[in-house]
Amino acid sequence: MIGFQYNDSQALLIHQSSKATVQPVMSPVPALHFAIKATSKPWWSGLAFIFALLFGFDPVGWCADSYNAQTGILSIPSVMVNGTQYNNVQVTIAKVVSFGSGAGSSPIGTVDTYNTSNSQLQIPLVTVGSDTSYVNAVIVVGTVTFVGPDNVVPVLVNGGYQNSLPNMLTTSVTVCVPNTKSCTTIDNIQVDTGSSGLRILASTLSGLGLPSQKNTSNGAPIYECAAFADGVIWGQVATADITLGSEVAKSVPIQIITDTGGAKIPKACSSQGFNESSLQYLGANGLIGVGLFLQDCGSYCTNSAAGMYFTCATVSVCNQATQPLSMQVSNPVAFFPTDNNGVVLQLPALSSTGASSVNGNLIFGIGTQINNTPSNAATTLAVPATGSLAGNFTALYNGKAMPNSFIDSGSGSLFFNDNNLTACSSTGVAAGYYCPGNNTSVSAVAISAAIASAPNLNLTLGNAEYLFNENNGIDAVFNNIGSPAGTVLPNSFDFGMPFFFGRSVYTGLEQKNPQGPFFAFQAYP
Amino acid sequence: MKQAIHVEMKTLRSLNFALSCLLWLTAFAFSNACLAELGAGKTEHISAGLRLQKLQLRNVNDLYSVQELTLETGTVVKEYINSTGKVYGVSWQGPIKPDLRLFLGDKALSRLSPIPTQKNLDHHHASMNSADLVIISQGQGRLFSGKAFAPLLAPASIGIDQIE
Repeated sequence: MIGFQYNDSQALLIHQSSKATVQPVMSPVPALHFAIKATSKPWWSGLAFIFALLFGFDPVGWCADSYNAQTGILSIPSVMVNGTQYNNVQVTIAKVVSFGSGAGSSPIGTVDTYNTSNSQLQIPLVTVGSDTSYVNAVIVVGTVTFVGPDNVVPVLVNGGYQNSLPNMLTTSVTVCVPNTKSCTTIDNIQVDTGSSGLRILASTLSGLGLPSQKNTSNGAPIYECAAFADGVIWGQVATADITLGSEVAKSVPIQIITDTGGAKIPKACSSQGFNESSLQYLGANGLIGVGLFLQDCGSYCTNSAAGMYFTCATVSVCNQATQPLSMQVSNPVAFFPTDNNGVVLQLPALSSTGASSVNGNLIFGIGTQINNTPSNAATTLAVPATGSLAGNFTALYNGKAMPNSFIDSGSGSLFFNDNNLTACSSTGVAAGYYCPGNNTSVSAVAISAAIASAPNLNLTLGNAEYLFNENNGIDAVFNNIGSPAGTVLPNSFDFGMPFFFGRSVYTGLEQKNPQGPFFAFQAYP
Repeated sequence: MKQAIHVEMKTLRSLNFALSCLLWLTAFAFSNACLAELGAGKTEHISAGLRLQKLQLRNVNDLYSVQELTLETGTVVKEYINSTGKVYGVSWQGPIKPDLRLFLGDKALSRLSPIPTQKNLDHHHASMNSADLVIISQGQGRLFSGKAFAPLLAPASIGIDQIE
């Protein structure tokens, strides 16, 4: 059914004769932390890295290979073959070339690399049984017994950088200079269904040299001041080919976040809010917006300078400008040749005491393959693409209609207003969250959030202060944390990350679906 | 906050500044670049360089009035003004986040920054809450909203829930 084959140019291809339905299986990586603890290689170092280890932040967004000695099968979460990533590959081993440098060494790369000229597989980390691991092993592949579907990438939920952002959902993204093999893969990119477009810290691109976008009339480079609720992200607009698993989006406008070099953030941007253009404040190496909309601003920025796009004649002179749709930072999913009408996020169910990290899948396309087709039991919620209710549907809370409701992986918590729920101490670790009951137990309470066509969502809320502190503060992934939304939108229920656990959640793109943008969800998987 | 605002107001009442702003502003509306902010006068949209779809000023009662600005992007900003002409509350809602410095002022906005000892909220939410200032901001996709409230400047009996 599935195999490696050589084509005429002797390049290795993986092809599938049918669409597989099995998702990548991420192995738990008990050996990961100690295996790399003694090294200086990981992507952030020093104190921050020690924090990461102590508080459970997985410094790399991948999972180890695992070898089953009984079956002789090596399971590979992700492997790069001539610039293309394949997931959930299973192979037999013809020969071990090297067991590698052993635990305590630094893994080279974040995913396996297959060398087509000698059939050798370079493996950053492989676990054998529960207590043995090898770093930088090299093997010769025997036969390929399985290759996962081509529209899936693994995702990881954890506490983000320094474990400070609960329910941070991330994946790895490969960006290339358009139409070249000049590429780099960046891990820990937040997956956000509540925004559109890829934004990556300049410091992680290590001189890749992506072509910068220029103003068509005066040739000055274009920058963006991307507005988020908690601040602004400043950086140059560039064009990149983006590879996510086996899907390639060509020549997509992206934002290179100015954490090093580049034009100085102008007053007209810094004044809009806190400048979070750094690893510390983003909590990740960037974010990939795979939400409902094709561009990050849309027609609002084509008609007037909405404070988002700038042309920078020099590094210190930046002026607001309009930006045509085709040049706006855009949702990369829409640029895929296939599987381009939306995404599915699949995350397993979670216990009420939380976890330090959770693995899941980001699947591209909706209804384009077996693995992304909603079941008959799925709840579908069409939403308007424009107007004051853009992206919103009506939920019910305690029976009351909440027309400003939405589903959003970029929200770490469930956001809604309920004066009967106690807010956590404004000076404690859980300021900004709900703390029902007492802070010495989960104190779970059922919350009556529902959707007319899905009356039993079974959401509960725990005491956030307890949850953040229990298990020595290591846990950062929860299905039961909520936050008051203030009274900004009194009739809003934000189904953030806690809602995603135990579900497959669909985010359908505007203009790419007959019914327009929509959300849908069903029980996992 | 009240003290800070008094200090600021004193600074701003320098002669040069007053003269430069006099063309545009009422006696209460002294602020940095002829812009409004919490504790200062309502926004004068022409001097602030704002292009509006609509402008509406409502005298609600003796205690306060509301200036509602519908920006070019469609985002609606409401300024709540007390009987002495000072803005004590601001709300915003719409597809594009407005320039918050313009409406809240540098000092207030700078207090909406992460606190290292606390778990952060995500990038779609931010809030701060102290005795003199409350700010709540949220936004995803094409819907941004938020409010700021200075309790010490608000008329007695008016709370943050009345900032809509």
